[in-house]
Amino acid sequence: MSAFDEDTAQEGVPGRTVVALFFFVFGAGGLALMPLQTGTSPGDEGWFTQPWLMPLLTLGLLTAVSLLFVVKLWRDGEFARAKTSGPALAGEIWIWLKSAEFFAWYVAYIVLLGLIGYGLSTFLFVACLGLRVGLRQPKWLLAALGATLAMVLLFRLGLEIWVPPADLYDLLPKSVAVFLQRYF
Amino acid sequence: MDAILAGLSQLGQWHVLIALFAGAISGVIIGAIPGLGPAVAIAVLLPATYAMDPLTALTLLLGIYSGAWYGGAIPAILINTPGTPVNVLTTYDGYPMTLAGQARRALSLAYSSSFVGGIVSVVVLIAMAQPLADIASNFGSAEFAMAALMAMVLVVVAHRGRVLAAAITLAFGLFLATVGLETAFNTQRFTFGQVWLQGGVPLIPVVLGLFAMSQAFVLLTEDDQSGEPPRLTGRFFQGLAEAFRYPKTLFSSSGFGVFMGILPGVGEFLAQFFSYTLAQKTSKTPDLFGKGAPEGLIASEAANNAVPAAALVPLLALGIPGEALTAMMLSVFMVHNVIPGPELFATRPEFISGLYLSLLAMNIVILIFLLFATRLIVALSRVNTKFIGVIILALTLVGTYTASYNIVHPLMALVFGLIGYILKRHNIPIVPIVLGLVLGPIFEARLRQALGTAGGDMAIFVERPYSAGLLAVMAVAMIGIALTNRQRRQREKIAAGER
Repeated sequence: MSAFDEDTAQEGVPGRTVVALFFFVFGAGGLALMPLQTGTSPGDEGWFTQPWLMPLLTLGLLTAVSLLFVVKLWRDGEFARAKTSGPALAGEIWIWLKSAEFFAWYVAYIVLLGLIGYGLSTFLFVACLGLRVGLRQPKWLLAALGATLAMVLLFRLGLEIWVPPADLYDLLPKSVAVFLQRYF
Repeated sequence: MDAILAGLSQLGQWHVLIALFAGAISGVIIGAIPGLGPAVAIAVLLPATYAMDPLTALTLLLGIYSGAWYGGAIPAILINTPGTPVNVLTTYDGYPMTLAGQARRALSLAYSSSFVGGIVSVVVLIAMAQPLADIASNFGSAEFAMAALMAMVLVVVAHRGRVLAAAITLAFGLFLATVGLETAFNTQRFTFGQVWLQGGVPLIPVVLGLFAMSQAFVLLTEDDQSGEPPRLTGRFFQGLAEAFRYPKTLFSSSGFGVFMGILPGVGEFLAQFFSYTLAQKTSKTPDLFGKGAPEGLIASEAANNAVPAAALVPLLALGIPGEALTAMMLSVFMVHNVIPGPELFATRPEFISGLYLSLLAMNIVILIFLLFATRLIVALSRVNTKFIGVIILALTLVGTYTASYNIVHPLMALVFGLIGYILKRHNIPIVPIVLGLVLGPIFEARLRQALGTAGGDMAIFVERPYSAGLLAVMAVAMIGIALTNRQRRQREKIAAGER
């Protein structure tokens, strides 16, 4: 396979049919919602000033090209293959859903940020997610610590990025809390 | 002369110099780590650059952009894994040279070819941007609308073999750009009554999600891709001159890179493909290609590195970004109310000169850094890709949450991360989404202005010569892709018949 045979680069991965159908339904659904979700200009400045024009053009284009894509996949036999390889398709969709696990990790990181501050929450996030994905040797804990220090140096000291005040710092003496809030 | 001196004084500012070195060096390192890439780094750093002055911010981002293509050659040559996707063709001849015990020679060839490509493109940028801006000063809304449309058409056409998929994602991006409060008539479009959608779909969470988070998901869910590079001995200075033994390949590939970089939406992939094909066709030893041909390596690297500066030509002269990275950079201009386009050359000549000089300087900094630090950078090619995935996710927090203090933005970025992850798994291009999001408002505003001037008469787009010329370019591109597809189908039919 050459580097430019892009059509076949991910041949082994089923699910393109689902993606194509998703965009078709998204476009068609958007078109159906247009009367509710766009408006008409009150005056008579011309059709080209109408607020609905661009949504109509873009959703029309999306619906048309995704329909063409669906037809192409149908003619190429991808729908038939998806039907016969049901478990593979289900497996692919399961992979998509599994990646949603990172949603939870990320939201937990944001919640922790407000509770224990940027530095500590970043270290916990990097170390724990590392453990979760199989980085279980002690050297990865050290790496997490090093990466956290680098991020704190870059973002908090270097670029002076603001982060919300951490509840944990309120429990510390004021001078320490101010220092940590500013730099950590 | 005054402009050069003004540019030098701009470049001499300590914060610009720090951005120059930091951008160039970190760009090389980022490029050398497979799985990271400049799009991820630029997306992560973009919100932080909004607080910098425009020249400092752009110097930092351009340093990452340029440096990454240099650095990407290192793992491509040593472990057969391109550091960035555009270094794919470098593996064809670079890795066989490593297997033949010529790793140092291959790296030297890549560095010198990249340097020539980089310098040629900066020279072309200096030579072309001002004349193009002068032409663009005659542009009206019709021409700017057609230029934006041409960029959209070319970005779709450039995705050879994935044209339909690229058209879908472009249309998706264009639709996202329409969401929010439409200011002309205060009309809400697809906000579903949600206040947080009234400001539209913001660029930062979209690019962070599509480029950074999706890449993190890929790295976290796949096996570790890091490899064991060979030990390097000797110095890198010795091989630098060898690239000049193939001047035809070196300069024609640089020229291809420049040409493809200037065309909106085309970029590195087609530049290196055409350069490599031409180099093979004109070589005295075409059979050596793919087995360690120096000309193959030169063609790939010179073409890649000629693109970044050339990609700035349409951005600076017309205010139209041609690909995702310059689209992100356009947002830096906009945040500081520096409007790229013809007027920028008249109103901010010192900024333009400073930008040119920083581009020249960063190529020199990158080359010197590579000559002395290659062995150090090689070690980074071995970083566990799962760990890189974790770090990317941690880095995105700064861009999504702490830049807006709004929980909606990280959640939006996560949604786009998931979309990007799914699209990547199916080889559906994500770059057109970003271009659609950036070009959509430009196109809509200019279209309204042009048609308003013409009283709604569409003939304005063919009656004005520059506009008609841009339409002709689009027509040629579309006819070209249709003919290419037809030829490909015929070849496939013949091949199927032979079987």
